[in-house]
Amino acid sequence: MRFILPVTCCLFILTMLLSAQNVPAFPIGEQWQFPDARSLGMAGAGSVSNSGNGALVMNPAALAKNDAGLHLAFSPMGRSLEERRAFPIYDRFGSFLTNGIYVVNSNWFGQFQGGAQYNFKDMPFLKSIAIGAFTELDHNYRYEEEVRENDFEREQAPFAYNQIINDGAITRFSFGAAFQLTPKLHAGIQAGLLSGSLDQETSIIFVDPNQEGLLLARNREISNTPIAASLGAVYQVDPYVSVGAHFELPYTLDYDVTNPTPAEGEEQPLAESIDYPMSVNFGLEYRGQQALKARLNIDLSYEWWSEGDYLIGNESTAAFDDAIQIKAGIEHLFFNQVPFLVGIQYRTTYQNRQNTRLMFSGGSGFRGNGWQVDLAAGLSKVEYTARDLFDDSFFGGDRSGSPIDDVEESYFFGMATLKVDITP
Amino acid sequence: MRKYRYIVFFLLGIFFSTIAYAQTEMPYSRENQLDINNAEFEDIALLPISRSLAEKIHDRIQYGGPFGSIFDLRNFEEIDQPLFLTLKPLIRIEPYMVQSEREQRLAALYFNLDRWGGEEGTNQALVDTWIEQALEPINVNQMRLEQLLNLQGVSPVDAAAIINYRNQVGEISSLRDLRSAPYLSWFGYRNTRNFVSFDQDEAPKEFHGSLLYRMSNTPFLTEEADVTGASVDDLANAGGNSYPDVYSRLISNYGSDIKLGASYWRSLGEPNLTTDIGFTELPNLKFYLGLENKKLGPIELRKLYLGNYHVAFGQGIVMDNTDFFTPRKSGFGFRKRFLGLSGDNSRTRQFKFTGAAAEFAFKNAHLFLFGGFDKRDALLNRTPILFEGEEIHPFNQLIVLDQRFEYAPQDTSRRIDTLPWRNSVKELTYGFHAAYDILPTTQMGVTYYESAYDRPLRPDILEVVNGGDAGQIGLPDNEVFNSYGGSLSDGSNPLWGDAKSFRRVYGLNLQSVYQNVAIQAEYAELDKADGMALFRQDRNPWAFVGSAYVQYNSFNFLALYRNTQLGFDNPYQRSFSNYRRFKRTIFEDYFYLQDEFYLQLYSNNPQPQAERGWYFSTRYQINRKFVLSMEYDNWLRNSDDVPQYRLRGNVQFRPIFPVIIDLRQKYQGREALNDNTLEYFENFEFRARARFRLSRFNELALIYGDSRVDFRPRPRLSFPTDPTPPGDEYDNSNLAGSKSLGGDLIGGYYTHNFNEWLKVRGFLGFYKGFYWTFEDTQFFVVNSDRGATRYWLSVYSRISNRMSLRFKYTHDHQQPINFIQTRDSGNEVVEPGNSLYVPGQIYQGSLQQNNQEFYYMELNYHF
Repeated sequence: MRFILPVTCCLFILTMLLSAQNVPAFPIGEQWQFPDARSLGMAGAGSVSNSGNGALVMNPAALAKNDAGLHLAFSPMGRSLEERRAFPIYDRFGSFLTNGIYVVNSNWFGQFQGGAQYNFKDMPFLKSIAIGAFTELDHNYRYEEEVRENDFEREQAPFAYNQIINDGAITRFSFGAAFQLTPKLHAGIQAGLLSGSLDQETSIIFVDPNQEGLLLARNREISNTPIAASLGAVYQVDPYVSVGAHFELPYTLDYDVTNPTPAEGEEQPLAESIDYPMSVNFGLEYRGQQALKARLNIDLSYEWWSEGDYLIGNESTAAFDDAIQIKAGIEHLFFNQVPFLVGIQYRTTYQNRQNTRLMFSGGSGFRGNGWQVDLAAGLSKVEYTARDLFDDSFFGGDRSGSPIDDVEESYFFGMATLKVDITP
Repeated sequence: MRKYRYIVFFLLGIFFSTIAYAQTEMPYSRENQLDINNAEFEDIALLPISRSLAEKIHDRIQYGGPFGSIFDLRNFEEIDQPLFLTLKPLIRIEPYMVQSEREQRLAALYFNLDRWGGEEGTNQALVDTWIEQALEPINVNQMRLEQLLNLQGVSPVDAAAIINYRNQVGEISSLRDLRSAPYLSWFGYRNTRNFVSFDQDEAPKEFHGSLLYRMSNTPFLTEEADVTGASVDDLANAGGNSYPDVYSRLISNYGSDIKLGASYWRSLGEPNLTTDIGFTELPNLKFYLGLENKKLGPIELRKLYLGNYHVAFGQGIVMDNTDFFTPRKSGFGFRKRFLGLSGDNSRTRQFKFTGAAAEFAFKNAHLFLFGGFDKRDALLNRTPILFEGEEIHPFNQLIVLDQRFEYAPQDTSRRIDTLPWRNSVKELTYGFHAAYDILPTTQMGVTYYESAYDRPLRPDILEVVNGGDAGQIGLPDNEVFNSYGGSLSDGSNPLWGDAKSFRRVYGLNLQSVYQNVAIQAEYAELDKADGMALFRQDRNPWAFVGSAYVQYNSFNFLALYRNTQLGFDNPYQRSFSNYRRFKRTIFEDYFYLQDEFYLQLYSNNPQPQAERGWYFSTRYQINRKFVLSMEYDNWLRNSDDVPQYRLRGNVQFRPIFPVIIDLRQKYQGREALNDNTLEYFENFEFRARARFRLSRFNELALIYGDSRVDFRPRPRLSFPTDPTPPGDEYDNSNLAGSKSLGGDLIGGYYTHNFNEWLKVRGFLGFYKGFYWTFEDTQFFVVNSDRGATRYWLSVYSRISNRMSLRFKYTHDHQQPINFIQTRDSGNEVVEPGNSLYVPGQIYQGSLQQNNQEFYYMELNYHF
């Protein structure tokens, strides 16, 4: 009975709110925050129950729930993005027939995360301190499109390539501590220093070396000292239910933008400033009573993107929508040693709240004495319409009347986490 | 001496206090064992073990569930054999706490609840009732005939057998007693037993219910007939969002007499539809409040529902208000309708009733009264008419929309004229159903309803079809021409001043069961002001469904005749038919319509097609190893008298209990009417499935399918095999077109139950052509021109006895099509310079069919 009202409210609120995009995300970025494999295995859910150092970005209050001692974690992660762009094909009646895919790009990118945490045994108030390095915004991206004659009577080799290369990521170096306020209430605090640089190159390269191509290159260096700070609390309602809240304060990234290969007489681009929003996340953990020790984790977060600005110089260039994320994940434990994880995530994007994404993930691992390995993988696919990245009229093609592409992005995330626990 | 006395007293004192202390420390013995499954942590800590081990044991019970055996203690590393032998006499294993009856039923019926949780659509009222009644069974001695009929798989013969036996013996007191009811089949008994009790005591009044939340990014399909290739494509490409399909539902009751329900459904890619309540906007919910089993003096108020409700009577000719079409809805087996009145929690949005309905009974007489006022989605005519001096746009057809956009996406002309299709017509509907039980299992009834609309009804086909394509209208479109409307539908309503047109339908129904034979029939007319016609074809349009059913323990046979006249245009008719209304009319060919989304006039139409003919169905269990079943349907479509047939046969062979082999063959076709028609087609479909039942309900299944559809090549889609040389006159004497479509399927399923809390299911297969299948709880129809690999994985986790969660991931990897060109009828590529070419549209490309990925999540909570 005690869950009826909150669960009902949650369900109907979810249905109301359910209402996201991508490459155009550069240089703002998409935040896929999976600090460890357990989190990825549950599609990002588990802010209340993740007591490892990943709690620094999920909810620092949960750090307090780990066992006393030193805990080390190291998480290599791979991310692949398969991007397909298609144009609509019509039948003779003028009706839409299907989408013809004209470019497929599939690339892998890697990153490392990890940190250390120490939980005090008998300290009355301060329960845990932790440090970690986490990927805040991963901007790595590759795009290559072959350019051919739009004529199937003649099979031709490509005569040019359209390319986009984005490199770089913003990393959060995070410090945090967790406190016990009452036997059932814990609080946490975290501050993360953001650091990194981004490079972007957009080019058109002709196969014929006598034909001159195009190159637009930008380098972005952070010019301020941005800090991503957050506060969290976790409350254990009863042995089976725990709830938590996590507030992230807004921050701003200021970039000095330079063109490393300026044409003669070309002016240097202006500085950029991007506001990242305040967000709040509410988490619920429900531990069932059953042979596989099920833990249901549900997280609901809201990001106030509409409050921020993306400024080039002093001019605001984009308006964003507030975004929501809903994550649900289950953790089972086989034989007290082998976790089994599965999760689903729903999110809207700040570019357009009508674009939504779903993610499905799963994971497993092994718990030994004083060590643990977690493995997880996730899949996400999104389809949206967007303007053609390169204007084909440049090549004299006949697609000027159909500049809108149907874009299909399939993400694959793979992650492993090695944890070592040195307990007294 | 005195000194020693003190020492002795002191030592004795220590001795006894030690004993006393030891008793406090460890109060358990062979005679006073600890019931460890129900113990608090402090009780466990009193055992001769460390505190940390006590914590682990307590954690294990709290989160891992109770011990099943004392030997489970040996799974703890800290408990070695000597310690185990020490603990063994001090501990006893009892079942964990005393569960409530509801919790026990939840635990016992979780498998059924798992299955029903995913079922939805046509049978929502049935499914809701099953869940409710499985968890709170009704005393079988108080159940009414229609309550028994609404149970899963219970035939009229079974229901009547229970009623008759009850009347004969006075009271059914046990399952064994129930089993001995004459003419009650084993299926009928098995399907009844989970829903009935024999307990005379009134259950305590408590608030209980079930919550369901479901989200997926693929249309949730419940029936093969719900799917058309075009609608799936349209869904994928329509609209400006990528919202998933979301369905939430609450069913609840307080005791057995107060019911409360609410639901919300938003279809894939549909905009957020909300209602402004002044200070905020609420999503468009459906809700109901019901009161049941009350006495008003001598009159029984059996049901009173406010809000959204569902009503269905007889054979569904007059009334069955659902948005969903079920082919061959005979009322038997899986083709049942919920009879009577229920709260409406389904995804029905167009034909939902919002208002009040009640069921009264006085001795053997029953009376249902219902009324509702709601807005309907309809296609409005662009050409206005003068109506009582006012220029008004009439409505053409009511339409069930996949996504309730305000306007058809590409129909700019109606948008300019501000003629939305969503909520464009208001409808007031009221009616009654009166029935009398001549005998306990013989009933006659009358049903009547009347709808009034605030716009005139003018079903003009040219308001839907493109002007240039009017020449394509042919004989089959008689069905559209015979839609109800025109001036005879004009009229006022005494209860509603805005009414401008009306529709009135009335009918008679009969059902009777004698021993193991059930006879059911319903006849109805659409009132065109010509008085009762009673089988006179020249008067009011009418419809009839009649069936006879005989049942033995291992054999049953159903014969059914139906005839729906062309003009019987009743939007609430959901009676037996093979096809939807408007199949094979011009509404099925989206390219002739003013907007391709008008295709939904056919593809989502829940009304049956006007057909006449016989349907036979039988099942015979020869022995434990062989079961045969067969369906044969032979009918004429009333608009053009085209003969059609469908024959399906199944053989189930079970050589040993864990091995089940199913062979299924279907022949379906439409016979050639004459040389000019394109109507002819034949479909051959073979499916073979072998299931191997392993331990723990694990199952491995292999499936093979092969199908072929033969049809007349359609010249307009064909090209000369030898293209006409440029400059010559086009020659169509050498047409080559596809004459046949083939399909193949091969795949395998595996279901693994880790235990009763966690189940994983998966499928891997290859298919080519058209293919339908049930995937876990979802129904899919897929099509691949070049072949595709498809796999899915589903995880079903019961987090606790009350809560379960299901995740599913589906991937469909299509083989690419590397070359496509759109050509005109002269076999010329449509490209710049061609008269058909529209600048900006692309007619040729090298393409791949999209790979598809689907996600699905379902959460169930029972309280």
